[in-house]
Amino acid sequence: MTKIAVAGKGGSGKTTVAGVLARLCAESGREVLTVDADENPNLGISLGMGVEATYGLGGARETLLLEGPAISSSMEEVVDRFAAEAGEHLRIVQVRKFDQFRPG
Amino acid sequence: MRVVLLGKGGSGKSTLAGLLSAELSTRGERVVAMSADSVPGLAQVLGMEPSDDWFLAGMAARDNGGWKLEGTPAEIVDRCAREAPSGVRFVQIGNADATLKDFEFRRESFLDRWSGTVAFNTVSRAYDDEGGWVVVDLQGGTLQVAGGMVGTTGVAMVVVEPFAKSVLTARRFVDMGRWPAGLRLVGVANKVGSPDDEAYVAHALDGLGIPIWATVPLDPAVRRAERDGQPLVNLDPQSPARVAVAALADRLGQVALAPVTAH
Repeated sequence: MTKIAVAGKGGSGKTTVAGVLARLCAESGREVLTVDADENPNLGISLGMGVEATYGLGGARETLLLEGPAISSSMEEVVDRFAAEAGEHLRIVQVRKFDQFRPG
Repeated sequence: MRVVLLGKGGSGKSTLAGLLSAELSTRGERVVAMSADSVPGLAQVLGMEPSDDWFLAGMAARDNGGWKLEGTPAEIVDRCAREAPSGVRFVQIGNADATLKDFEFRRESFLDRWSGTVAFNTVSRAYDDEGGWVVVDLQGGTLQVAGGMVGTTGVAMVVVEPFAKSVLTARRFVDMGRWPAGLRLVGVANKVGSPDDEAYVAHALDGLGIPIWATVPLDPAVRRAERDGQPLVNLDPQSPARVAVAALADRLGQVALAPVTAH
């Protein structure tokens, strides 16, 4: 399994590069899991999911925190639970989403 | 008067915060510019040499389960702020090194960084030199806005580029919950390269109920200046970006002079 991490300054094009790269890999027949770790996640747009689908994706972290401290699932189970289909051979997991006021 | 800039990473907040701060200062206004971003964009725009002293980290201390500021907001600013060539006084929340230390999960370094956030929030909300300006440049994204760092008074300017991701970020701000009544949420369309771009942002922000207070064109002079290592505040005043920022300063000035209405 090949893992690719994309890093850089805000606005440099990380999400765009990651999205296009993921689509190309999926189109070549590889199974691709994308992980959007941005607290303001937009990778769905770069994957071609569309704005509404991207906006509607939930953050895994928020759900898991609500459920309690113990995560007894394996990583595969967490991914299977939270991954959304983004295309053929292509899934996305959104790690977290800071989209509500929660001061402190 | 308090102005807070928010928006997606890379949308141009630091550039506009710096240009606006310098413009106001050139007009004789007293300006304190505060950067909540660990990436030193605003300092570079203002043409400042790096300093070890302008960090607010350490300006608040734990006190009986809460926090206390190490002085009044004015004293903190006097102690920490460094003056840019334009006369703008600048402070920074904390540096990138402090952030990296958190990976070691040492309590001391976490509290040190959090002390910067506490000091930043307190100073940004409470600093008042009666007639001066505080320009707050937040980190890109939604995290600091969700954490309440926009504060409760003044003008919150969401900077939007003509891209879907930038617009989606603005939508997240609007949908974040109830905005404080004392804060006006307005939009600035940035890096607008064509009438299509302008229409795109206008349509999107109209749909979100955010009035556009300035449209800043995509300005090749900005890119050239950055590459040449020239502070953007030294750009030709007739360059499109600076002209747009001057108009924005006019608009904000009108708000500053307007009588305060009770809520």
